[in-house]
Amino acid sequence: MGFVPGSINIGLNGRYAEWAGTLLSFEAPILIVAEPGKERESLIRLSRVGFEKIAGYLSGGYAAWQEAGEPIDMIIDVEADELAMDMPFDDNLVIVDVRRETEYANEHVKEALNIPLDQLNDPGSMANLEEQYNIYIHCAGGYRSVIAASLIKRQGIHNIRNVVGGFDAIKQLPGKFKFEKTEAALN
Amino acid sequence: MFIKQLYTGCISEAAYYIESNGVAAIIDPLRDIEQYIELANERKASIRYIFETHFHADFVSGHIDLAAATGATIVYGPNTVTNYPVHVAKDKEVFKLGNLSIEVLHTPGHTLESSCYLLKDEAGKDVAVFTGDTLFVGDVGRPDLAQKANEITMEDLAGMLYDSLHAKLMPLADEVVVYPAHGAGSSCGKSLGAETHSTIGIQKATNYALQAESKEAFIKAVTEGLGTPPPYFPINASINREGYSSLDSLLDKGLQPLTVAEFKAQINDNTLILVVGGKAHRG
Repeated sequence: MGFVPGSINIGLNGRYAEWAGTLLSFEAPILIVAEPGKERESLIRLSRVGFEKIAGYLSGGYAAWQEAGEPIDMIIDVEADELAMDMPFDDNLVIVDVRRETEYANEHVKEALNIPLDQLNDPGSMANLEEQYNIYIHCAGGYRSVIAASLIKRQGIHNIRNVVGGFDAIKQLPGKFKFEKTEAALN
Repeated sequence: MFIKQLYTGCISEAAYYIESNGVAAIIDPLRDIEQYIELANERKASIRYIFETHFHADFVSGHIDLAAATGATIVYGPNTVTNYPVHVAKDKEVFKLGNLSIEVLHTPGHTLESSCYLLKDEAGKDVAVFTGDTLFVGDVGRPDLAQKANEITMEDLAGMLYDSLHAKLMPLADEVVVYPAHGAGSSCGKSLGAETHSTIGIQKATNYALQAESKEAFIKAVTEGLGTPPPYFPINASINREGYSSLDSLLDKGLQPLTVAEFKAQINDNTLILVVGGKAHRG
């Protein structure tokens, strides 16, 4: 999936306004790139959580950007079984689970790193991530991981893959992953 | 009597439309108010009251725009101070709506001004209670949002919430319908149930917070395991208190089509580019 470099990518088909409110500054002017025809909905849903500084939207959306020959960035999607195949052979592979701490504690892939999405805006939270790692990001179902991938790219780390279908898809392959729980963190 | 819940899943918010004899009331409207106006127009009713259960922290309410568009009166519970005209109701104050009446139940706890609205039918019988963030299906409103350093603690608020629930809501008849402001996924509580409405009887039997054996046990149960509230909560609560510019003026300013060249000219260190994805994902 391609997008404008340096942008934050939040899907309309999810808790869009909440994540925008959680992750975007209310002070900064916001430029919108939406699917043509979805601009008004994109704006109204931002207004529901108090965003006022919308500077406009890209006419024609991402397609116009591509057609103009402007630089683009990509988030590479991989299936859960591709991750399973790469894991045994790659010492630099890091799985980043961006679900909430309680979701992670309940069950997660063994040795996955937990950086909840709402903490990804803090550059310090990414101190453990480096460009030489092959980073695979997942959430529960694939909505939050796309947002996370765009935030990590904004910090200059580009070697990342988005696991389509998230933990739900990973759970469908029980023979290929090891799982663990964090008892102490559960209430 | 006509009651309709208007539920918006992506922010887990429930607004309500109540109507009798051609006059209507809206409880906790969202900022995009056309849906309420259209419903009233379809039903040939006029909106007379806008009841706000409290200063919402998780969304900007449409009360101000809706009052401007319809001439309806905005009603808040006791001790509310706003920057715009509003009727600050007394505890137990009664509003007439056609053949129905709506009684204010001041229920401080989630916030200090939090109030529930008890709907009574033509015969004066309690029918439903609009509980805002005081009582949810399977949970109660988090008591940590209205804390003030050196003045009021989360435990103080939880204690008030216990008193409010026991004095005002739990004595209602079992069959009274509970219509809360939020459902599952909301950050205004910690574990809201999947249903978007319930009854007093079911909540008394099943809601963990209503099972507490003492006030102390209640305070402990509702204050533990609260996640960090989203950072925009204080911003939204403040907007709801202070007022805002109309959604129309915001759309006039923001819905500006930009060519690629114009768009690029706007990009600087301060601007944020938001790509609004369209893929159907959840999670």
